[in-house]
Amino acid sequence: MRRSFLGEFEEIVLLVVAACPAEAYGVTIWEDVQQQTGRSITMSAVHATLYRLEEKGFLSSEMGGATAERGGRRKRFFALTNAGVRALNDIQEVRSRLWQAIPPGKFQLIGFGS
Amino acid sequence: MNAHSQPPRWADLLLETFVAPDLLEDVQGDLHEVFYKRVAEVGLARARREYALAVVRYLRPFFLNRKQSASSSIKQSDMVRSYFKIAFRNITRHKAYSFVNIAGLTLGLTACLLISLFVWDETRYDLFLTDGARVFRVYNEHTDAQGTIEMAVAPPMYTTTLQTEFPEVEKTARIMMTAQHKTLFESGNTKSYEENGLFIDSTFFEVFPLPFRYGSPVKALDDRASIVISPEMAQRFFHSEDVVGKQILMNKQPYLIKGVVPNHPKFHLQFDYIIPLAAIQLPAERMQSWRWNQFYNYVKVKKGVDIQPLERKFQALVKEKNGALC
Repeated sequence: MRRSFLGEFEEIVLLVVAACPAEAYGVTIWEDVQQQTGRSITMSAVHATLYRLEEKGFLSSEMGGATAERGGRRKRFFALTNAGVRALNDIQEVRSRLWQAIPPGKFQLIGFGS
Repeated sequence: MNAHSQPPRWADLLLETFVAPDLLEDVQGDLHEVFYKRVAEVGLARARREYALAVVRYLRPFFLNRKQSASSSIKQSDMVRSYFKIAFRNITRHKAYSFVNIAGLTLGLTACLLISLFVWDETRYDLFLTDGARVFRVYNEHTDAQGTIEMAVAPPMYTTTLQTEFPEVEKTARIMMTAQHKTLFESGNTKSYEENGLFIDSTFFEVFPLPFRYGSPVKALDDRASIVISPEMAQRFFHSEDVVGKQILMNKQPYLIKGVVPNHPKFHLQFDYIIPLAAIQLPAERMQSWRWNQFYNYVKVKKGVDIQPLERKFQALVKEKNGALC
């Protein structure tokens, strides 16, 4: 089976969409990504990633209704697909397995308290 | 809301021409939403600036008409791509025919380029000569019952007459046409046959000011027992190039070397040695001939001389002389 892997930034965007309590669209996702990561990110990077994730099948999108404050332009709302949920779960599993495999006391040795 | 409380128009135009139609609406909508938010936060001028900078970041291939099906209008590039596809399919379908066509075209173009290269190279000759544009070779056109023939060689009197009777002429020089024959040269124990000799009027270096590596062109070949040789020939006989003043035997007769002149690759005459016509002692009456086609006649005209009237004048004279002789 051919698998699409997730890049670091893709993973963050996917998680932000997953974590969004209301309907997620470009502006809210862009703001959340910057807020969560503390990085300054251009909106075009977020848009490009959203469309790419949709192409890979991890996100789906649909257009909302017309809005007044954007010159009548509709918003595109993004939602996770089953494949997107599965991809995030897979990553999480691999991560926790690896975290559990870290020998106890190792982080103390190199100067990080637990 | 006036026009100036909106994002820069040029930025929107850029976005509208560049971003794929199926993405444009929400991308532009999101950008506008942020713009109005920023107008309230940081003021109009800065918001406009930020908007323009944000738009510029969308100028990347990813946003450019990514989905062919989503675009309804047929684009020029699709048509061109189709042409290439059809051309390629035709080529593979008619392989033999295509091979003949392409090979023929390749061969033809190659030949054309090679010929052009050759012709271009031909035009590069003798350009290095000072006043080369004023030097002409008189050619001979002979018409009789069999037709007309043109010859590069002409009788010796052409030059003599041009020099003495035409004030337009500055200098003339003849080279005798000789068959390539081996001439024995000796110096000490070194003996060798040389083939490429020029037999010339002593004015040769005034018509063709070739650079001397050793020696001086002034009166170089005035004395009948003098010779100018190429550096290669000097090496063959003396293992040195600076051989001015040395003696070399030609057919057992001594000649004094007056100069060493390298061959210029773009000079129309190539030589190993040059000796004056006086050295071969042609009978004086033969040099008065109007019919002995044995010489290349070179003429250097004076500055500003129009060559065509001179040609006509000389042609009339030649006809008159030949008429008298026939």
